[in-house]
Amino acid sequence: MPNTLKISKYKQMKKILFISFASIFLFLLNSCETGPDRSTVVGKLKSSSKLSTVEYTITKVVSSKNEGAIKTYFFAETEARIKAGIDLNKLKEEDIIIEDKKINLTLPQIEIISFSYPSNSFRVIDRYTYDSKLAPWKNFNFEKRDELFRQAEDDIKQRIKDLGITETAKKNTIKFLEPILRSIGFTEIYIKFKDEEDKKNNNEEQADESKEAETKK
Amino acid sequence: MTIKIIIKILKKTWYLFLIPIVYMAVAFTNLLPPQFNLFKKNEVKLIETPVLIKEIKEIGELVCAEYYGEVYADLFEAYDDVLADTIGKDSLYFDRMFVKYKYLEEYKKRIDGKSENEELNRAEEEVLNLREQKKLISNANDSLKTEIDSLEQQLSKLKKRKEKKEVTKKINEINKQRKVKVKELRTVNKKIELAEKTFMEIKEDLNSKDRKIADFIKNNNIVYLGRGKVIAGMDLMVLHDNSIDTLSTDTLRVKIPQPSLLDTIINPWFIRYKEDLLGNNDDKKKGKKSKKEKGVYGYEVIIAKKKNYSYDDIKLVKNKCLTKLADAAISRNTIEMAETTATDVLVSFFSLMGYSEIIIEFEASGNTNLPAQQN
Repeated sequence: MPNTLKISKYKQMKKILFISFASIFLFLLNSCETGPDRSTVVGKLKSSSKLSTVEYTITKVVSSKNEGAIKTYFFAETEARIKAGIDLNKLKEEDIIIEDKKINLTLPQIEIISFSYPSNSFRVIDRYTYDSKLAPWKNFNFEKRDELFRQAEDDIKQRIKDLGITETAKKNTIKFLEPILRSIGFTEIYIKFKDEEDKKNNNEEQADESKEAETKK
Repeated sequence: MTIKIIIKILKKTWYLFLIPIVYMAVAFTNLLPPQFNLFKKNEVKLIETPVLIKEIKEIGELVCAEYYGEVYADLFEAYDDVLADTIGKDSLYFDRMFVKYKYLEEYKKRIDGKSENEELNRAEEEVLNLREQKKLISNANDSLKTEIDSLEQQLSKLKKRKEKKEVTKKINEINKQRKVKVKELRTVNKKIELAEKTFMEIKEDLNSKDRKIADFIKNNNIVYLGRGKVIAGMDLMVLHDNSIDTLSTDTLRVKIPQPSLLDTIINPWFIRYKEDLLGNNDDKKKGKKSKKEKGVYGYEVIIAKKKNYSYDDIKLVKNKCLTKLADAAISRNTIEMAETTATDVLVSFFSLMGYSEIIIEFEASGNTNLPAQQN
């Protein structure tokens, strides 16, 4: 009798151990951070059909400091280039209405075609960059500089919307396409962009909604 | 006596030595405020500065192919490129380069030492020549020996005294010649021994120099991994009046420039945000970066043996990554793909305009195949 008890207890213990190990394993598996899988991107060649019509060159000062008993500073001038335009793949048959010599073209919305923040445009200003010989771990070494440039890239990308790049790209796209369309025989050319249409629709919808609300009242 | 004095001073001022120890202990436990903590590595934080527009340029680029790649480059292969560019340059240029690139001068000195390769080739050539000489002498010696053997055989068969005397005389003459040859052989052997020794010494010296260069590279290198994209397409701003020809109501002929690499881009971030930079509705729906995604760096340090590389050194390695990425894109036929896609895109664009037959012709332009970005 005591022997069978021992065996059942042993089996129970085994079960508990198995369950706890399995749950720990599952927890660890779940808690692992999944980064974007670069292997799905790197080494790939893909076709594209984007038309860039504007290039913005922007500058940004990248600066940082370590304050305290030992001060170190880093100061650099950087440049980024942003190209914007349209994706011609998104142009559908229904976006083009042709009536004899008249063409109505609704182009896809403006998007950023390429963003380039090249390291060879970074210029460290030695006059404002101070390193410490006493505490070299406080200096802005290449790893810290790279981190600063990553932060600067984030900052630039967050501000792209405010640069007015969309409007300039729209103007340039029209300016670019008009002569081409003229050269193939169109005399009356009307070009607009999808987002303008979306906005129009949204405004109309909002107006309808407010009218409905008013009539309900 | 002096030791006693030191001990006496230490006994009296022991508490002074305690101060740095206590400071270090407190500093390492992170109890000190950051401004008083000499040992704390500060968090790298960007000071907020504005983004200023420097230039707005009207362009007309048709992007037809994109290559995404990952390459790696190290400091010393980048130095090799710098040194290859310095051929025929004056010492002032070298001085400037040595100031700019921290390990270049030392590397050049070590590389220059390798010019003894020519000396090694000369020594090897001498050994080979001497061996050839030895072969010729020993062949001549052997033929003399066979001649003697045959004469001796002849001699044993001869009965007349006069004849015997003549043959013996001949044998003696040949023996004299053999002695000269043996002497020559000894001299050549000695020369070979000496030449081989010199050759081995030079070889050993070169090997040790090679080892030293390899060690120097190993101990001072930095290796960067660069991930980015290469864009290929064509500049349509060069289109002129004759570029588009309406041949008939249905047929159109379009002449466009040959595609080339428009940009080679490696940014600080390779993958960061998935959402559209302009916040367009379409892409917002596709999903933002999830909380668990970390992002992938554009430039990542793989090996760094030192902490104090100059900024120009780092720039040089990163540039090498760009060149390698452009090369990789070319070898993966990015330009050829751009050509095919350009034809497809333009055919579908103009067919939407009502043309059923579209002929696309590529005009040769001067700047094809140039890795154009790199600013």
